[in-house]
Amino acid sequence: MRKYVLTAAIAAFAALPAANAFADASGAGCGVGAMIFDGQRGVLPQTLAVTTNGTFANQVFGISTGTLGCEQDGVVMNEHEKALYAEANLEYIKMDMAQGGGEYLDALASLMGVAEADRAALARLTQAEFATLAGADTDAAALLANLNAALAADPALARYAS
Amino acid sequence: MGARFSGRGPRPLFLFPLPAPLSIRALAVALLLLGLTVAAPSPARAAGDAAYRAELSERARAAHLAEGRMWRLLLHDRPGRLRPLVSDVDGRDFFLAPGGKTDPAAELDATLAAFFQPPVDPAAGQHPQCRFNARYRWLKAQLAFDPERLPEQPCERLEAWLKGLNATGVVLVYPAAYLNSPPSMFGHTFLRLDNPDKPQLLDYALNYAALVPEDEGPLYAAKGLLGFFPGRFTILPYYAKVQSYAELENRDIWEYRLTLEPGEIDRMLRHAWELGPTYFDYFFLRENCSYHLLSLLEVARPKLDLTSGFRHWTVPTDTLRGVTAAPGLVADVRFRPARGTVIRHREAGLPRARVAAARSLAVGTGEPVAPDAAVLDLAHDYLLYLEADRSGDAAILKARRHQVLLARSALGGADPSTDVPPPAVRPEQGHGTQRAIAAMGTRHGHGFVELGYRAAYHDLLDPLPGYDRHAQLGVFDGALRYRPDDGRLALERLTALDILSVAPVDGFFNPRSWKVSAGYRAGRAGECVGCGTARFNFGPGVAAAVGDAAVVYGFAEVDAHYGPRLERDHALGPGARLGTLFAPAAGLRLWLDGAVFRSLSGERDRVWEVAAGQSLDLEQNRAVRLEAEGRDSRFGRVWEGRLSVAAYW
Repeated sequence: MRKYVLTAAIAAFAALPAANAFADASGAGCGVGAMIFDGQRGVLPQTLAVTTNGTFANQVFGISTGTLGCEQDGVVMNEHEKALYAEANLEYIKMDMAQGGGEYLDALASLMGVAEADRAALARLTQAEFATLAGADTDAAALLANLNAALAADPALARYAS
Repeated sequence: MGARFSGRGPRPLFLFPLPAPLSIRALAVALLLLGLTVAAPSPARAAGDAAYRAELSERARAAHLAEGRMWRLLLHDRPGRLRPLVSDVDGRDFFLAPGGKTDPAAELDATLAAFFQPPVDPAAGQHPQCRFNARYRWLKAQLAFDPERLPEQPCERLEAWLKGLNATGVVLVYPAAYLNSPPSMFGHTFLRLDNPDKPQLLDYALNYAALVPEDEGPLYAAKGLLGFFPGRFTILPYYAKVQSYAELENRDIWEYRLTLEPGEIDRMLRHAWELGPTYFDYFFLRENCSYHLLSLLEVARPKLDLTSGFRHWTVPTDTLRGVTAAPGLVADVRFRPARGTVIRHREAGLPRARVAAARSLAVGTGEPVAPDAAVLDLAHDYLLYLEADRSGDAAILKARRHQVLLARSALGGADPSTDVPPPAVRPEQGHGTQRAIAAMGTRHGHGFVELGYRAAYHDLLDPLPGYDRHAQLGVFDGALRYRPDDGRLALERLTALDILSVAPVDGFFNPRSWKVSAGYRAGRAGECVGCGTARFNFGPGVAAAVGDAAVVYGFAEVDAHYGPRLERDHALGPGARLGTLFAPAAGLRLWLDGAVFRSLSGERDRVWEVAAGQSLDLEQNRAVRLEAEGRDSRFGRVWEGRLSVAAYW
């Protein structure tokens, strides 16, 4: 079975000055535990998973069950959405950056408030600057911080830097 | 439905009949007195509550609300075996009346009463008006609650949740089967709640599934069949679902946009809110994801009848057929290809040499290639696939993938077009999963006629459109055979399970083919009645494509028989099988298969089995097939030929 473990967003951000933007008032951040996206690989796990649709208890976002980590009744709180998304989709965001755009980069752009009209410019920027934005082991927090710096340095997109 | 309930509703408290208005007044007075004695500190308010409560109960009874469809949908009631109605919901917290699971009228009364509870501190929990908000809003509309006498409570959490979702559209999502996993043909369905202000990936998925404890052992598959796990509705960002299905599990995703309108969506979500904290016992065959999603859609649009057709089991593709057949329910259908499908599409658009270059880049044997975006993007997809498949050292694959991306970014330019066209036939446009088959033929010099039924799902000679051409899954397949010349009627076969996955390898993708089957078949130890055996057979295999239309395969098998005619009642030993599947034209399929078995325990024998089949589709749900088979064993050599007609629904 293949499991994709998302560590708590705060863990990734703790090392960075930007972390404050994502921590809640108590400073505890949004992760009381790991969020696990489950996928099945291999004949036996896939076959066994058929009878339950393979949902394991710790990937659940409960509805009407109160606050847990960075979600309220199952909906990710606004202030955590970008961090969580970047963490969960890091490899696909990098892919879109290097390849000059795509759905994953587009969703990130929307979370950063980048207007539709500026998305193509953002895609060109991230492709041109890819080598400085991302290394093989760059995590989501660092990627967002690097992106922020690149935006700030770009006259046309500087207003999206935070 | 009304007739079934006449006389079953809760009766007035009086032992003698009174005209209705008088009974209300009498009840009101009685409750007023009760209120005065019990709730002395604020007599007027309590008295008003009690009188109004009684009035509302009486009006609900007079209007037969508890017997109506909407109340039934909100409680998830359906006809029970022992009781006229029983709710599918198994969590006790869902019912306010002690007998609410089987008594909708008592539940309605208790629900009305709970709405009168004093305000609740939000930190302590939800007011019943909020916890059961779909009930509240429906009863409020039906009975025109007077806000002076039944004050409306604020439901801040619920309203914040709805605002967070901001759903203006609903999409029914169907991840198709895993490759090389025939059982997954049963599939899965969930709903996507579309937020017009956000890209699709950031929408939410509303999912129903069994909740399996993380440390559950391999028995969980059996437990899932038998209702051991609680099933719950949960939500998750859609990107998490896309990642699980399209990226990690390599399953294509079909998205059916529904025509639900904002009022319908609002009602459905308020009802999902009611269901969130509770659970249903999860039964894979019937009370599964698809069944419960249909019941949600019925709450959204009560005039839809989607669930009543599924009495014994609910196959997700069959529910897709139901939803697409419901007039005006589906607006459009989109296809989201799995990573493996994107890879196949990119490969098909490139010359062989460039595909080979991409593959060698991915496996790390490549020479530095001339800059070429298509090759680099394909190599990147391969590496994602290998990482998801855990084929190789994760750190090395990741580093290699990053090098590919660096080279790619240096080239610049937008992604070359990778719009994968959807398959010509959608999953719900394939044949129905139940099959009846009528055959005539000859065996060992006797003519016969045969009638068969299969509960599910697809075999390699069934019509192909909408199905994986390499996967076979038979569940409960039985046939009776009659010989006119001597009047003999006997069970020909009864297969509990028959799985065959013929997954071609191509040097890069190397899936292991596999098969397993269990069931009874006549004529394996002679031709008499009672000469059949129960057989269990399984084994791994390997398959390869020959051109576009043919596949050849081989299997190594373990073959076990049980039957009273066999030496020491059984035969057990290894076997080997070779065969080919060939689809020379649309709607026409050929299948040749030969196997030899050497039984070493019990009956000592050497058995040959050969079979040839050809089928021709007449339409989506009709096909004819011509089959021949031979068997050679200690009991003699037997030949059979038959012509059959298959109907699916």
